[in-house]
Amino acid sequence: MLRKYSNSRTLSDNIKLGTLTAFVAGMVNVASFLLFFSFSSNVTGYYAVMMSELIKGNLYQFAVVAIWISSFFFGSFLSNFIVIHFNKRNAYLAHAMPIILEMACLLFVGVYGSYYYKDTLMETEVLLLLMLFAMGLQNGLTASISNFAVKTTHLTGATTDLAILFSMFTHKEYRNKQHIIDKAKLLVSIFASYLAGALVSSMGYSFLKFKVFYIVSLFLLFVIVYDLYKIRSVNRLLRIRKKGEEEETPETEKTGTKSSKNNRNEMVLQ
Amino acid sequence: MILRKVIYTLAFLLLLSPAYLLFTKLKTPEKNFLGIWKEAAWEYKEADRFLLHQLADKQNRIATANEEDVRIHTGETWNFKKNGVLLLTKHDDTIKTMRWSLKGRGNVLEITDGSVTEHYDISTVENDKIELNYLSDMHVKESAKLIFEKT
Repeated sequence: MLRKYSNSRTLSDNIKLGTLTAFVAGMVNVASFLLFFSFSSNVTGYYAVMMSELIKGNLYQFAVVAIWISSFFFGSFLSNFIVIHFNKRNAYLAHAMPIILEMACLLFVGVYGSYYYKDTLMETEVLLLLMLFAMGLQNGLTASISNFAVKTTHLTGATTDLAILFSMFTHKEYRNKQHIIDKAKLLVSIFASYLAGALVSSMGYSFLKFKVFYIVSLFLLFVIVYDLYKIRSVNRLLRIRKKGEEEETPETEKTGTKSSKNNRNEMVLQ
Repeated sequence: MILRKVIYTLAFLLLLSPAYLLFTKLKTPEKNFLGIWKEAAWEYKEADRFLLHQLADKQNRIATANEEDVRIHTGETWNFKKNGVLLLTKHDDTIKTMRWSLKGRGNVLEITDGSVTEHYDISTVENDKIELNYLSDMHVKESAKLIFEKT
């Protein structure tokens, strides 16, 4: 779900990535609202809040909100920066790194909140900043590797897209087009997953508090490990097949198309 | 090429400017609260009386149709201390110790005695006046307003 890039991704890859990361975003957003009275996975509202604080003359709040928005921005920036600069060296690592950073940020929020949080405004602002940065990383990554098909931290665009798709289903010309059905499947799975994450977070919040972020981190760990496991399994299979072919094929015929094909497969999976 | 570098640098500085503003020029909203404040008024809309009942219920108070029964913190003096301690002094000079903190971007006041937690949206903070709106679980604003004056 992480290793493939842009048009080489299948619907299944996008649905797996979309559901898992949307679940995480739903959990993080609800947790941040319940803990700090502020959202952390969407920034549209913050643009309006920022300007209203400026008009009211609350420069402190204006600056805080501007920094939060910048934090989301830097998260998305960094994600795509890592993907485009390191994709050719090691696609899996380039795609996993933003998720690793996101997990580190959210784990820090969980640990700090559970053991060191003193309820000061500065701590609240910094923890929210980290959450927004993490959500920026996630949204930047999913959008970047899926050719903008998967965005999971906010549902404004997805709501619009889904409404358009549903209206297309009212016309028989579009109703049976596979790519439209696929897009609808992806969006519905993102919605369902986001809501499920939000529900789990709001139910678990009362007794877990900051420990909600441990569960979030486990989901992210699963995203990272799932692809690593897949890569290793496929590489092992390729090595076994290659070894078998080498044993069967005479020495003189070993070079040439088959081994270079296998090498190519391994490179794709890297 | 040079123009592009200038644009990138300006964009970067623009993004960093709120942080510079925050750390060098601005005072945290927590400082605005420090000191002793006296409750001056407790206004609410008749239609939103149920919210006060909800708050009273939350505090295990008997909520009747009489507004006086559901008003809380009536005529109290609030002493916001630096370390997050809030001392509420009633008319009979009894003191209740609570904790206070600001949430969000400094726009929500949370007070708690350990068992009951109340949230107020901060609508005004001036040198001699604070206006708070009680936030119910439904997050309906402008329903119950608590006004303080600096003593």
